[in-house]
Amino acid sequence: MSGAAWLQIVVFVGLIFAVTPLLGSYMAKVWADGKAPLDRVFTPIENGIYRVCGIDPESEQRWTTYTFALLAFSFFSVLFVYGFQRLQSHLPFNPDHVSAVRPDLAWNTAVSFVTNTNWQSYGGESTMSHLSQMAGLAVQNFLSAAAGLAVMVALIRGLTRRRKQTIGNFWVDLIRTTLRILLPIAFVAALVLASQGLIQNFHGATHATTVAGATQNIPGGPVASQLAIKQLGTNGGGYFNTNSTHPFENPNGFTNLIEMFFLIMIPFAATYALGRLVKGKKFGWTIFGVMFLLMIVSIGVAVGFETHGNPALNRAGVTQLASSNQPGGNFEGKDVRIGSAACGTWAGATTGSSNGSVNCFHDSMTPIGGMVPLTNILLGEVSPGGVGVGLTGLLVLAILTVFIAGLMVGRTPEFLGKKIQAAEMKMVVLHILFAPLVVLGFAAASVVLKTAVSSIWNPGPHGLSEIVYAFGSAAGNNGSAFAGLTTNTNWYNTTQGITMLVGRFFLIIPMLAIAGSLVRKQATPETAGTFRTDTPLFGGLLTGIVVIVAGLTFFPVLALGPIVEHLVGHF
Amino acid sequence: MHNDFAFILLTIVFFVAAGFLTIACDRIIGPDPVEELDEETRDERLAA
Repeated sequence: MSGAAWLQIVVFVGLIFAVTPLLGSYMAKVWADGKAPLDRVFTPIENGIYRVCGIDPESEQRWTTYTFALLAFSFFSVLFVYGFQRLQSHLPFNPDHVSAVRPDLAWNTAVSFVTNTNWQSYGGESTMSHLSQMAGLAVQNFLSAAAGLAVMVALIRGLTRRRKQTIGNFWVDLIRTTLRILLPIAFVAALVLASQGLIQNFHGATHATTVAGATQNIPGGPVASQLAIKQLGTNGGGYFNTNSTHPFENPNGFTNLIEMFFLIMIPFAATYALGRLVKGKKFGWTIFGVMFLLMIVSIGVAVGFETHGNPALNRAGVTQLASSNQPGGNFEGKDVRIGSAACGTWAGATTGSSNGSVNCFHDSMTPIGGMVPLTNILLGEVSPGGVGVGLTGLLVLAILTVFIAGLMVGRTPEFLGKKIQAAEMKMVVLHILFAPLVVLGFAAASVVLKTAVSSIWNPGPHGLSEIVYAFGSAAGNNGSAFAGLTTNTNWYNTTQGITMLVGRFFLIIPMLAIAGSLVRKQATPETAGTFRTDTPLFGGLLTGIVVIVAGLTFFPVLALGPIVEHLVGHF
Repeated sequence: MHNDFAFILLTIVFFVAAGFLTIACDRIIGPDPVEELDEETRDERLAA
């Protein structure tokens, strides 16, 4: 691995540790009761929005009302984005005169962006007008991320409040999070990216003639502004078909580093905010540690296998060592500007954080290198997870951890002072079961149904990995594609749309139910027998639970896919 | 046009199902156990 590759990883990790407390502290103030920074600027804007929308910011909601507000908001968002795409040929900002998007694809895309998945069965530059990109997709990049953070804040309130019935107001959380956290950071990020060469214009494609005499269409569009929130909101939907391998989305080493940092910045900072809000900084750092450990291990494995290269090429006498001519390693599906190490780092970070952007093609990674993003997705994307929902998912697994620890010693489990009882455990089980049900169910159907089999380009273990990845990515609301599979079909557009909806809302509902159940409970005083949740022991146990739960569920399919491919291909 | 209708219907069906799941989860977690008690017992429990 080259010195530049090592430097990129070191700076990446350094930035995480530097920014987590700063941003986390700010986020905690935004969500806590009382004064927050820049109230003078934001409060009048928020009050204006509340007045126009008829929201009473003082009125709090029970968990069911909070959930219904989220569902209603998401329902209308799907219809709105769907309508935009179907009508785009009649709407302005369409310089390339792209036609209406086909119904199944428009629905898949609408669901994809509303659920923060950003799965893309289309090429942005040839399918979407600038208006659809800006007012349809980029707006959802903000709102779906803010909705995820709102769910997280609601769960934290469930943990911290005593003997209450309400967990906050969804509309207030949505608006405050968008205005005070996502918009300001995205604005600065867009300027930074534009300064590095990401395009930002309303032009249509420029038609150029190459030196060889061929015609080339060079696309235009408001890319920098969309890219900023694409990364910050752990959305991942690229402006262009090739996502962050396109030079207009990711032109150089600096943008590669900073885009990668943008996508894990808020999820890691959320752990610090959690620590502040539950008045347990050590607990926040313990959760951070679990996320960080999982992320670093996955990056290490992916980078290791990708930089090691393909042994078949070594046997054929082809050099894959880093030199002045090449970055080295397994070079299929990678750009010279980016290389194998940055590909592995990006793949580990994006799939651990529910961001579906890619800077290389996961389908071309080595079997175990490619198993890393797949495993991250199947682990539930908790390293560090998508904005809001990643941390919430890990907290649900933390509840399972204290329950199992409680069973070991025969005590009623407690989590942050609240007793964990049958009701919460039923919700945890629902949360854990829904995703595997749709992933494995639809993947199994796709392997046998005639209509789906025709989409498979690679039969055998690699084809199975592609199918499981497609549904895992949809259920985990990740959005990255392994590729090598034709998914722009009625079958995949519809079943993946259903998978994304289940993976988003059927997991959020039990989470909010846990918040609704816990918020009513009195705090239990800590005793000598209480299992502490701010220790390395708890962190280790939680890491084990994450791995075991996903392992028990998905190991058989991993064994039939990437592991068999690794063994058969003598990697 | 019929495809538009089919996908809008599918969206409605999903969100209605999500609404039912919410109600089912609310039933599972049940009413607040302390709120269900008579006033005297509730005060005693809360004081404890």
